[in-house]
Amino acid sequence: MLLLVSAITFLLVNLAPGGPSALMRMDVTAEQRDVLTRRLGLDQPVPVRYAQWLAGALRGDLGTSMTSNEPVAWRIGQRLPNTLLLAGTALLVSILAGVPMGVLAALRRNSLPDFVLAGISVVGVSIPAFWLGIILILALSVTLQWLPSSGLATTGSAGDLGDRVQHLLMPAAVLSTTVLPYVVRFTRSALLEVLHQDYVRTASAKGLSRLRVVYGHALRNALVPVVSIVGTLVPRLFGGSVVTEAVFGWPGMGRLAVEAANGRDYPLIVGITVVVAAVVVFSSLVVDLAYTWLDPRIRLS
Amino acid sequence: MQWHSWRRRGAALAATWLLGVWAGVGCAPAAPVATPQSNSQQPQTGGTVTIPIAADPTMNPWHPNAFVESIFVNRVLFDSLTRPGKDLNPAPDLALSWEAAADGLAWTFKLQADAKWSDGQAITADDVVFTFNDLVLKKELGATGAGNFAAVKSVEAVDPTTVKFNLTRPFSALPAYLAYNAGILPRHAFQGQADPWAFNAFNKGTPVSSGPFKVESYTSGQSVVLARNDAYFGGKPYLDKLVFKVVPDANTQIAQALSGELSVMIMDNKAAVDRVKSAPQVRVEPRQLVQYYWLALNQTDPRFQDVRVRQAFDYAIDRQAIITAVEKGYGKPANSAIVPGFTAYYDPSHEAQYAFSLDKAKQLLSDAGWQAGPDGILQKDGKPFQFTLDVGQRGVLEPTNELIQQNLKAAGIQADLNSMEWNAYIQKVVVARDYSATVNWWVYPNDPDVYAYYHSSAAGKGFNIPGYKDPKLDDLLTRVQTETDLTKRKQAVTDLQTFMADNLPYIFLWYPQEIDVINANLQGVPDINLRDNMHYVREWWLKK
Repeated sequence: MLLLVSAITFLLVNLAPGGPSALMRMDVTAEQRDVLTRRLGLDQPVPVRYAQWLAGALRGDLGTSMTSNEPVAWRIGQRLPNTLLLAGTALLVSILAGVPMGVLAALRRNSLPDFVLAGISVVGVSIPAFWLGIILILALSVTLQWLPSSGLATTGSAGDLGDRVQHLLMPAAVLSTTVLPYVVRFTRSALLEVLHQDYVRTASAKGLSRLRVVYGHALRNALVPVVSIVGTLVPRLFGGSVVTEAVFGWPGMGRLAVEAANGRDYPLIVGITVVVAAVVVFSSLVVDLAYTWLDPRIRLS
Repeated sequence: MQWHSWRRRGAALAATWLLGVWAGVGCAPAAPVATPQSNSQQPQTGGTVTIPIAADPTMNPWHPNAFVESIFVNRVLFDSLTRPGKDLNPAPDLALSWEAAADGLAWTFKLQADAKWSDGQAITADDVVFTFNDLVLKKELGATGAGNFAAVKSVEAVDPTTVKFNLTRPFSALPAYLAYNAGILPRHAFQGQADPWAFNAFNKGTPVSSGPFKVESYTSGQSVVLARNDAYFGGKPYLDKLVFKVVPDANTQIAQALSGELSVMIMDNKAAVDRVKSAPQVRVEPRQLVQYYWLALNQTDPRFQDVRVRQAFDYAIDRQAIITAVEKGYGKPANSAIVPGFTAYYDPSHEAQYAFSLDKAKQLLSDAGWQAGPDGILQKDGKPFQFTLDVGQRGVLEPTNELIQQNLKAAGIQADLNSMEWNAYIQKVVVARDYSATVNWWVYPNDPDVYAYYHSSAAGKGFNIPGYKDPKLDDLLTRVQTETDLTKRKQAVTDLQTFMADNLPYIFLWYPQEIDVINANLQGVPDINLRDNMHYVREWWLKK
């Protein structure tokens, strides 16, 4: 599967008009363009270049970035943990906040809490991340001076835990708004489905408290479809991280991908696509395993 | 019920907070009131200045990847032979003085005797020789900016503090070009490097540098932190540190300038200028640039070969209105390639030429044989005056082209817009020259030598984008390029401006100004654009 992704990406990227940004500038002469084209190996046909890339990739060498002369694998290795941190935190926040909100909406169905949460969901899905990001920066960094507005840590230092958390707060909050509404809505509908099942009524009839019925029995079963949607949120988080990372100067994969695309850094683009595809595949695997843990009926005999 | 009262309280709290934030964002935040800058203040030592860059720099001014953001960092790290003077003329840097040979085929530079690299080694003529002979002039390396030194045959060290540039033809602008992103690199650091562009420990790590600040740490995607170089030959800087922080989003940069996280930034999008001007913690200063916007009409299209048509375009386009709309008034209509900043050469007598006049435009078009046609579009030989404007998505180009389209429509010309992503645009218009008309700009070194952009030999593959050819223009360009006598050169530049204004090889649009947003505490900053200012960071200081 990864092979297919790499082949398709390689082809598409090399077919795109334009070229590496070092060549595509107003102030580069024709002679320089010729020289650089040869140095970057772009005068060879696409299949030959793909074969060379593949030979390297199978050995673990994803090539050299055209925009920075550094190894592609190293550049991705620098940025991936940052995006995983950001996306992971956003996902955690969405689940920790979204599931209880969804439960509340389901239990108080068609009453004010439900409508408020529904309203928040619609607003959350509609608000563009870059707008929300800038508003938060203006409010919390410029006006109130509570939080820093960009970077992983205070410039020039590795940053202690408190410093890093301060830098993580706003970008994670903004990124989580892109997925929180889905978690809320899905938890709500999943729980509603389950609450009408016979076994729930049986549990209530048995005399169990409302709390035990909901959290002990109903929620566990409702979580199965919720886990599946969390799996689809991972690619959405990667996509959303592009904008969030740009606004907050967060040195992650999203920003790297945009820079690579704009600069036609072919090896880096293909490398990033393959790595992201691998992450998505891995997260789907984790989701599948979570199913079997949550629902014994799904365990293969 | 308990829940309801909580809800009410919570809602009230949220509403109050939201209103407070909205009000707070709307008002200027509390900050120390800036005292007016006075020249008699004594500079104080200490402090850190933070400057934004959009992406990671490559710390080698000649590297093919060293453009845009790298320029700021490289100008601080690597001194060059000359630097842009505060009056734009070349000022001494590593070179104390320079002189052209009698036949104009060589320039000799006398260097500082006691300049040192950050690792303690002496900076000598050998470093200059290495930089040029082994990097810039080696065609197979494709060094960035090498095209500016096409007339340099070789560089030789006469003695450790004297270096001679041997030329293939006279080149009066050499001292000015040596101030333009032309840092000298340390020969000893590059010993044994097979490929200087792959020397990542230098280019992307901790280079051996010569400037007032040297690299302390480089964190990819985040920042380059420079620390003061106490042994700088030009004198110890006042600041402790200079930090280049990676802030890719332009709006975040403005927010950080207002919050104090950035000390100085360039405001590319001038729409928010008035808002920022009212903030007391920053000052907003316009700066002169060596830049002009132009409209190129491809000379392979016979319609554009008639000078009356080009002049008609100039009259039809309301340039002052465009400046007001897209540059918020920070600019001046242009009628030649010579910018007002070249006070010794700029001829203001052309300023009133081509003031917006739809009548004059229509008259000229009619003289050129264009008659009224259906739908209000002019036609000639049965063909309508219609073409496509290729628009690159960058800066103010899109709104500018929209305004030009409207102006031309009023004159009876149909210009269709084709908006393209920047990289693809360069491929089509600049590399393939597959275009009819396009708007763009030139930035060039601080010298009126514009041969490379206008000479007939530069048509097709060179920087002469419209492909305009005229032997009279070629002659003028050559005179400007080779004349060493200042009076004769001024005359040549004056004649050049007259030719350009009358014949319009490019349709000159306007000279923009740069808007710098500077923290109120940052002093000692000369009144020059930020890139040129990088040569003067030794003089910057922070008021406590």
